[in-house]
Amino acid sequence: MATLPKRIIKETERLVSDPVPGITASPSEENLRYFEVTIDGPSLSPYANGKFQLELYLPDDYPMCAPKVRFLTKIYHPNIDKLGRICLDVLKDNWSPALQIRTILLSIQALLGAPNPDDPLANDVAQDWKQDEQKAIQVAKEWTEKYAVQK
Amino acid sequence: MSTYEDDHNIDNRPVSRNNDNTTRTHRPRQHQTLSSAIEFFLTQENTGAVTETPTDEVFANALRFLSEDQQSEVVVNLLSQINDNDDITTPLKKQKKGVEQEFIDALERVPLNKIKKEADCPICTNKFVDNDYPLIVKLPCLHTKVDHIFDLECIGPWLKFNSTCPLCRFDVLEADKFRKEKLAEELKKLREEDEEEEDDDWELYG
Repeated sequence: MATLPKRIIKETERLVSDPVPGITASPSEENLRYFEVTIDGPSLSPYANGKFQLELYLPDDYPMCAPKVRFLTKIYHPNIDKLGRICLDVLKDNWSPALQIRTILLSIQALLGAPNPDDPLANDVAQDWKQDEQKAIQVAKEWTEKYAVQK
Repeated sequence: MSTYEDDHNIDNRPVSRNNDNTTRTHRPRQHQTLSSAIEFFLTQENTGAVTETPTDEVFANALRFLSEDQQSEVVVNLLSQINDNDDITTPLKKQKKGVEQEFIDALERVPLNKIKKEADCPICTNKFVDNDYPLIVKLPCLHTKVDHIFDLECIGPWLKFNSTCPLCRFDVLEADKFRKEKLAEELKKLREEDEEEEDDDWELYG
């Protein structure tokens, strides 16, 4: 395996020694570019009390291109599809090499607190969200309870 | 008795193809074959040549030749894929534009003694002072009080494909345009002043 860039080593160390509140990220033992991530649902959102698992992979040309991030836990959200893929500008066209793993994970946590049905990835969920927001929020709560709350 | 053709393993009969029983004679073999085209395509890829169109064309031509000859479904599919790719990639390439190497070379250099000790490059996150041979450059971002500085070796690869500052997303090509506009404006002003002076002169004698 090619040597790990210094930046990735530094980022990993800091994620462990100085973690972001409500977010954990630990590298896999076999592949130091692959991270197991958990994000706590923001307290004032339908995802509150949920602990969502994600996977994060740093491609070879990181930080010239964005990390690849995907939800592993099922989630009812207009910008996250059923495969867990996330529609977020900073993961696509608005990526900048000055962003880091921690800033990206914070952006994802913020996206949970502010769903954006006008820029949907999961079309059916976005439709529900626009037609009856109260009901959609209720479904999101139920899914959180069912899939993301550890019993 | 064996014929000349048998001896030399040559099939001289007209070859019938397709079901409509149209007979065709052997075509002279074209120089461009699929395998040679693929080989060309691959070696070109490895040398990192910038010109893409000719290789794509060569590949497509070879496929077209094959599809005429054999009516293969695979070949037809490949052909349509090449055409589709053209449609998808061209607008994308136009959208994401980097800057010229010349622009990168001309970026303002920042000497190490003008940089705070704890400052680090936002891309590699290493402190500038820790670098034994630092080459530090400043991006021409407008509307910022703090300079946006980077290691040249970090910002170079980014600017090749993106014209935005990693810290503020300012389009650095805009700065170039802005500078040229300002220059043009100043020139225009100077010219107008000249004309006014001439007018004044005439009034003296009026």
